[in-house]
Amino acid sequence: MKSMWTAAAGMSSQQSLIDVISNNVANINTYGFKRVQADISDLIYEQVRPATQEYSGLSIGTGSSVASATPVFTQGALTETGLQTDLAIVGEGFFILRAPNEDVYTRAGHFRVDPDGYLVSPEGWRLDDLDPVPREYTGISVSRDGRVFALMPDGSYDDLGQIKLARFRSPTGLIPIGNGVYRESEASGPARKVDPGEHGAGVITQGFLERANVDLAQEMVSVIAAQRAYDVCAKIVQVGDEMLQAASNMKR
Amino acid sequence: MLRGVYTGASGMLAQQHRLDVIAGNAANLNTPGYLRRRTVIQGGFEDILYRVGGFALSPAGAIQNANAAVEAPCDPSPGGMRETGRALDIAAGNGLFFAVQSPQGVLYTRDGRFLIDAQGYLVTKEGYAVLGTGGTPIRATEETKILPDGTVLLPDGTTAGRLALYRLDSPVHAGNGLYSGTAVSAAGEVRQGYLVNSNADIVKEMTEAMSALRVYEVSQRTVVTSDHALGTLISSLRG
Repeated sequence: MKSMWTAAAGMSSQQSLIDVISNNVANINTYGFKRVQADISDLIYEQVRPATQEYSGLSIGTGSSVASATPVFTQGALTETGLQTDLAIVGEGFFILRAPNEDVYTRAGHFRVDPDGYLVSPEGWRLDDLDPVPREYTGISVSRDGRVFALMPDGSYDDLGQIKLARFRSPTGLIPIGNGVYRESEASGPARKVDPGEHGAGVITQGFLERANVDLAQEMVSVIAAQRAYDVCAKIVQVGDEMLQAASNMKR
Repeated sequence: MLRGVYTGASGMLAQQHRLDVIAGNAANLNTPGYLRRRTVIQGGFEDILYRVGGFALSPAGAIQNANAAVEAPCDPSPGGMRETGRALDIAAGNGLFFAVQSPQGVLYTRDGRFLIDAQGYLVTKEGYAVLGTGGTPIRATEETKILPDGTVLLPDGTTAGRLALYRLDSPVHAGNGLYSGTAVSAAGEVRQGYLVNSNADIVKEMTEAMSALRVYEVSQRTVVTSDHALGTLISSLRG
């Protein structure tokens, strides 16, 4: 009874869909989180009977599976926090963070000043290419094009450099490593560093954070669709079972 | 009498295969661009029955000793669309297909989950180039805008080509969401940030499954009844 296995594969792929959706919903309040889309595809087909003179052939699918889950990088809504070290990107691009062994990329601009004066992510990774703020700074100002200035007690501004944004050939190919942070891959292509506002990159807004781009209504509809498909597959397993029973009841 | 047993068994097997295909449809109720697969029951191995009249045999009619479920073209009806927001999710309206260059030649798909390969071309998830009008691959970037008529606009405002759309009346599945068949060039609406849903349908699949089960049961009765008749015949010969 191949149909039972096929339907079972369908049930497990609907289950994976629901897992991905629950993760999206769970992160609805995570700043910089991007909705993940489960890529469900049909599995290989097997020829159960080749075409003969008498009959045309028949091949049977083996179900479906979630081969990958890709992030969807649409703009999230901005929330004002008023914090000088909270930054949001309006438009395309990613902040570049210096993780221990590599550069990683994020849309979550919830930064703080570490004891050495560097702007760092919640993980403690430095925001790419800024000088440390001087100890006696009284404030930080970030312009739309990413220039960062430290406000000094005497009222002067100290130029700390410019935040660069990373752009990718196929952002969809980025690999999520948690907390809204991504690593580049062969599919995404290498990062291109650009100035905010140039070459199609977005601009930086200080005092704001980007909310998750999860749409609750859309996720609810997806859950219902997955749930119903799951039910149908479960019923097909039952039908397969009834056929098997009828077959074994031929001999009493 | 034995003929009834085998004919019934072939009917059971045919319905079992039919259910296998229905299960594949059910498993792909949420697979973008999936086309419902269909089977038909085909009779075969026709036997001519003869009537004995006097000393001669005359044909009395024909019976089909066996039947089998065979593949029919997929259901070409449109699947409807859903919004995803992803820039390279592209849907063709009206049940039309995109053309892609596969190693087996040009094939057609409704699965618009495209990517950009290392050379900068718009490709399917298998890496096959999506073809524009004129059969040429199309260059694209993530900021590419796709107009409703399928024109691909690059960020600098230049046109990279136009997505070719086709209508397939009898699509035959070729695996991985790709289909082959006689394609006729067609005009239609293209939507960026959308995907075409599977055209498998809960009601149709459940109805088909119930029908497969009932025909299976009837075939099973045929086998059992023929077997009983045979049993009765054998006991009556014991004398």
